[in-house]
Amino acid sequence: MSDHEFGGNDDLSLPKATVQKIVGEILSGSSGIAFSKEARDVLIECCVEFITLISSEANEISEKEAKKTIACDHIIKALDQLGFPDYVPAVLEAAAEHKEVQKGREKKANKLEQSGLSLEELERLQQEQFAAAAARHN
Amino acid sequence: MSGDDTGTYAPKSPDLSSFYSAGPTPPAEPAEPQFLSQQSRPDFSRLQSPPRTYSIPNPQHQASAPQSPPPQAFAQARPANNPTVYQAPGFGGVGVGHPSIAQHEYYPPRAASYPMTGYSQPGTGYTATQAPPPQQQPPYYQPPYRGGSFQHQQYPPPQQQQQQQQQQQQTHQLQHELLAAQAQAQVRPPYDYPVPATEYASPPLQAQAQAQAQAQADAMPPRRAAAAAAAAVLAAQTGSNTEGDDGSSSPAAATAAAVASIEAATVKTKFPTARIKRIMQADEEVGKVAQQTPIAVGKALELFMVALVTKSAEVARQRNSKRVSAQMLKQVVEGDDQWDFLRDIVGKVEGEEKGGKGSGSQSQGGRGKAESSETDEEMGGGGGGGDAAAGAKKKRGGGRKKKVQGEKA
Repeated sequence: MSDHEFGGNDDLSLPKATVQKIVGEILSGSSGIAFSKEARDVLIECCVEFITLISSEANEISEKEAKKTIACDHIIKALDQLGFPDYVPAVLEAAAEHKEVQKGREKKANKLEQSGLSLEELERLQQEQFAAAAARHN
Repeated sequence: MSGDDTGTYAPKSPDLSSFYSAGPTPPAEPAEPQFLSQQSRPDFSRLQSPPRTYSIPNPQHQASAPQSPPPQAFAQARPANNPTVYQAPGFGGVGVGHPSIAQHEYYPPRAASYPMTGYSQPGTGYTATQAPPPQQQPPYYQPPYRGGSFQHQQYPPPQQQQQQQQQQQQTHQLQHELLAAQAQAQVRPPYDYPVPATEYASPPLQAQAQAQAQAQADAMPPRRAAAAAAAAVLAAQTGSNTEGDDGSSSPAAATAAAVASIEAATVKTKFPTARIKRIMQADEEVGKVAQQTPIAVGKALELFMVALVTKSAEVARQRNSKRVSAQMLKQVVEGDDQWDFLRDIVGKVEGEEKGGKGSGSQSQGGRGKAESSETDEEMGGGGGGGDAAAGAKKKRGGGRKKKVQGEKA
């Protein structure tokens, strides 16, 4: 808790390396153009400002709806109201995707189950092949 | 558990080394892993039962009827069935000097006629068990001659290849060509030889067409080359046509690929959701946040960054610059009302970044004071919330200069 308070300035911006990486990925299509360090720092500030803007708007919306928790819906409404309606579909998609991932995480695939055969079947298959091999060499 | 695992995967990847050793001898006392390899053997036996029939009689035929199969027929048939790609490893193997590989080279038609993809492994196993007789080895060891011809074989048209291969093979006709021809003669009927023959006649042409296309467009990306090759297979002999088609269709394909790469690239890295949540909750008004919310915000942030970065990159390109500077970012932000909430931040650009203006509200206050002391009319405009955004740029520029003056004074 106290970490939150005192971590302060440093923690309340985005990790520079991550931002740099994402910028690089965005610019990978347009060859040769790079971001200067100053521009990246400004960009990070802009990003933080963006998050703050969205979250405070979403907070207002949630308060109007008498909700205590900011949900995805509020973010989407906030985006809509703040002039970013074109982000909404992709954000919805990402949220749905995340839900799916959370679900899929529950059941981890088992190699034995994936083969679709029971232990007995597998053993029988092995014995058959042993027999065939023996027949071939005799 | 581990036993089950190996049981499931053993048939996929047969252990050929144990196959060699166990081949001649019956499975007497194999250990656990060898059983597993044997388990995969029946697949081979089913596939290989025809080869086995001729692998044994071959030396006898060679001795009794040396000239019975016409070598030219084989030489004509073989290049058609051997794609140039395949020949390379075969001849390279000869250069290295392993006779079994060289011998394997004479059976690709048979291997090719198998529909199974995994057959190449049994093929090698087969040649190895066939253990080339010692008297056959000398003709295989001719690295200088073979090496030269191998280089020539890379790109010539099929007819030339046939001739070269005829020459080569005439040198060792007596030994292994007869052997191979006999083997093929025996193998052909059961495996529908003509069908693969037509199929495999195309790869040399494909290679040619691909080479031509690549020669015409050096910077062609591999995807386009593959497309060109595919087109070349369809109309192998009308090379000019395919190249024309390729040229017309390539720009769209290239742009589509570029767009796809950009789309894919932006999705890759994600912002840490914990950090986003913390930034959101830095605002004291913000209370609880649902689990999904930081993810939604992260996605929105990503789109926001994409928009901002691509636009500033465009500005950089217009200015013939390779680097996006903070000023360019500022220009982008100020050029669009959508981003008016960023003007506070961007306003600090141009040296004042280092001046250490803290948060937006503080700097605004400081500027307001500076302005109030110097210019009253701008202060009046800046008071209103709506006007503040519109007049922000001027205000900022003016405010900064004035502040500098004030500091000097």
